[in-house]
Amino acid sequence: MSGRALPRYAFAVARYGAECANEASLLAAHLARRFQAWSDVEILTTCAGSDRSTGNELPAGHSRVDGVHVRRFALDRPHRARVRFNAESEPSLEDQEAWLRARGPFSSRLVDHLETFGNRYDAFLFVDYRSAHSYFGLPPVEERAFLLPLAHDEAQLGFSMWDRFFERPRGFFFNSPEEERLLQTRFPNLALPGPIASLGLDARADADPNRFREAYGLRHPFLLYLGPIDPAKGCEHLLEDFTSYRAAGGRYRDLAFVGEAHMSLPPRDGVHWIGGPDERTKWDALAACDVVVIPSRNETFSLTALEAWTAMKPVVVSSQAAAVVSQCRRANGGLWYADADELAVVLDLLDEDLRVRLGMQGRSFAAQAGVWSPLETYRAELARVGAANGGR
Amino acid sequence: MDDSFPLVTVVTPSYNQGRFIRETILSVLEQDYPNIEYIIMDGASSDETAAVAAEFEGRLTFISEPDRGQSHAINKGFALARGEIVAWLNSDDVFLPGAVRHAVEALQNDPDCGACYGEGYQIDIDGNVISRFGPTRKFDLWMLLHLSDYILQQTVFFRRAVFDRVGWLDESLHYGMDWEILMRIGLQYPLRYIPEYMGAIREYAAAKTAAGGAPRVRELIKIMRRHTGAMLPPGAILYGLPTYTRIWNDRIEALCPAPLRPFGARLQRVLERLNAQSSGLTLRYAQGIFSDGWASTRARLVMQPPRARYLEVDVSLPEWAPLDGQRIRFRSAGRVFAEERFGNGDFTIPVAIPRDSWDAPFFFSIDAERFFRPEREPGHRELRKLSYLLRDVRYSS
Repeated sequence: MSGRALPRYAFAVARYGAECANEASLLAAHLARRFQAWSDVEILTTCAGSDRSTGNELPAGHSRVDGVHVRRFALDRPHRARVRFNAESEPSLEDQEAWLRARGPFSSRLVDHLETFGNRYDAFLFVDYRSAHSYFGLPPVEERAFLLPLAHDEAQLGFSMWDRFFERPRGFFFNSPEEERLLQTRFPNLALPGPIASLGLDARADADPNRFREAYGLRHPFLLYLGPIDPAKGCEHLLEDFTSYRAAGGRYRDLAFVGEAHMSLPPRDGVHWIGGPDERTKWDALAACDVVVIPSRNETFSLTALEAWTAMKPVVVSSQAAAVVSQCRRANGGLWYADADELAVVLDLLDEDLRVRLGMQGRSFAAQAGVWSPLETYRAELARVGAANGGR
Repeated sequence: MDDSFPLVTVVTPSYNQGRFIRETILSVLEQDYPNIEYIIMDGASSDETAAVAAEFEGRLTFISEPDRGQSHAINKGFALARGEIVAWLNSDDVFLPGAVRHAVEALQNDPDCGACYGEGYQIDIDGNVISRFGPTRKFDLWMLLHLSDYILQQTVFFRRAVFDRVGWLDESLHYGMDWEILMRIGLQYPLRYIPEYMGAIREYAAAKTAAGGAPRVRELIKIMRRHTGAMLPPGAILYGLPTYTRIWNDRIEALCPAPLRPFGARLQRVLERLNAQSSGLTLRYAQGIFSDGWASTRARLVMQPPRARYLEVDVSLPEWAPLDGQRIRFRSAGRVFAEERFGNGDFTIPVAIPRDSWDAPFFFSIDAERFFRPEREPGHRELRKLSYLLRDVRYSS
């Protein structure tokens, strides 16, 4: 690899692109855009176009997404296969691997690429331990592979297939102390070397709250949901909970859903369905809202919370997302709720004074997390591996 | 002598070039390089050559004996050479000041290359510069094999060791032995281009290049066929047309009776124009890669035997080019071995080299699915089919 001025890194992630708002895609995009300042970055991903797509919606090949080199590989087949597990016994390794493939999206071409061209890269960052590309693609390049696990406390984490898999990576990057603790509890005999590299964000200086309020007719204090509008993200529950809350005369009369829709959007009083935003609209919405609600129960780290705090807004999160609750605790930037009743209580607690206090504390946390400090953590770890592999 | 001044051996094959050889000798001995071995292999000249050489006794080795021609003389000289770097300089040509120093520096800086070459001049019989040697360009193996000997031999310096691998000059050749040996070396080693003026070739009526005629063209085509396998390599047009145009025009001149002279002259002009146009088109379009970096629907390349198991190909598509989603296929020995697709932007694309090409020079093409012809001015489109910008192709470990 002599002659290259910059180290070459690749992210392996199942989905990637403007229409993807899952945690793995967002994290990969967030990191890759910033890695470009000091490295040659490629995203190795599939032709699945969005979080819900099951087929080759995007063409295979090379493209640039926000300036990042993205290489897409065709999916093996639409992943419709279902593997049923017997709840009473541990599934065999074969069944577990079949489940992972069927879960998709999966491209064996991507794995072939890793096997063939692994030496081209100084390091790989596999995002999401549940991705079939991580499981099947990491072993051939394990000497230079890092795993960003995005692990949740979920049943699949108990599968025996991960026992050997988690031994393989050269290192890990954890999103939060909770994630690291969770994995250390699950794999007590493994070292799991790696730092916690929670990310910070660049604030957008030209955000304009009035532009957003005027564009969508929002005149009163309102709640904001930001991200894919998806039952898996807790949006159905939030819709129901908010409808009850509003009907009971709650303080906040409006809720804006800003994001790509992956569910039916029933008309409800006070609910505003706003499509997938560009960056400007997103930051306008954050500047305009009063509280950001994060109902998802499965997050290891919430970029949305960080964005809210960067915009000095408090967050209200699901108490079932333990890592995000912990994030709120560390930031002193939000409250959490377990059900509709608790949501109503929490929202009524959030008067202007508390909103401002939580927002400022959150902002302070976000500023401390910073953008560059975690990136420096990544950079230092990756450079260490590069040197060990005989690189620069 | 320390390692920074490795011994350089220069061999001059000579036969009855006494009127030029003093200038040749001086151009070697007056180089600003301290470690030169100079050998003149004379073919038992009957003119003043020996007398001129005697003036420099002690500063060169002069061997005069019958030989089997120029290539034989050079091979004998190389066999005697003690230098790790060798060159030959014909007895009517000259080195330019600094040539040896530039060559040693280049070879020391690029340990992989087998030889180096630089810029040069064409000079007249009196040593006056006529012009730059126009064909010189950066090293491109495909062009060297298929199209033209763009390397001026009077600027070439070889690593002595490369001859152990590729062999000596082919003594059966009379006109193109310098091109042929460069082909053989180029098929195994990169050749390093030096952007410095290093040598000059003397152009005059009796010079072999000018006097070669049809036998020279036939030999050059034979050489190209030998190394490319192509029945009609594009270089055949480039070398054949000017020579045969000259031959036909001489015949027209000789055979045309006086009343038909105006018609004959017109025919000669038509032939000259056809020759110029065909040569220009061949030079421009044969490889499918243009001087501004654009590749056409088929770009042809040859590389030394792979030192790695894959290529890295740098391509780009500007935003303004209507080619988003371009698909390219890599083809070798008649079969596609890789296929890639790319959009607007710059990309480095890795391509695995077929296993059966690992041990030999790698001939391949890149075929593009789409092209456009940019509008040069309103209503006028370029003739060129542009498919993508090909920035670089290299081996990568």
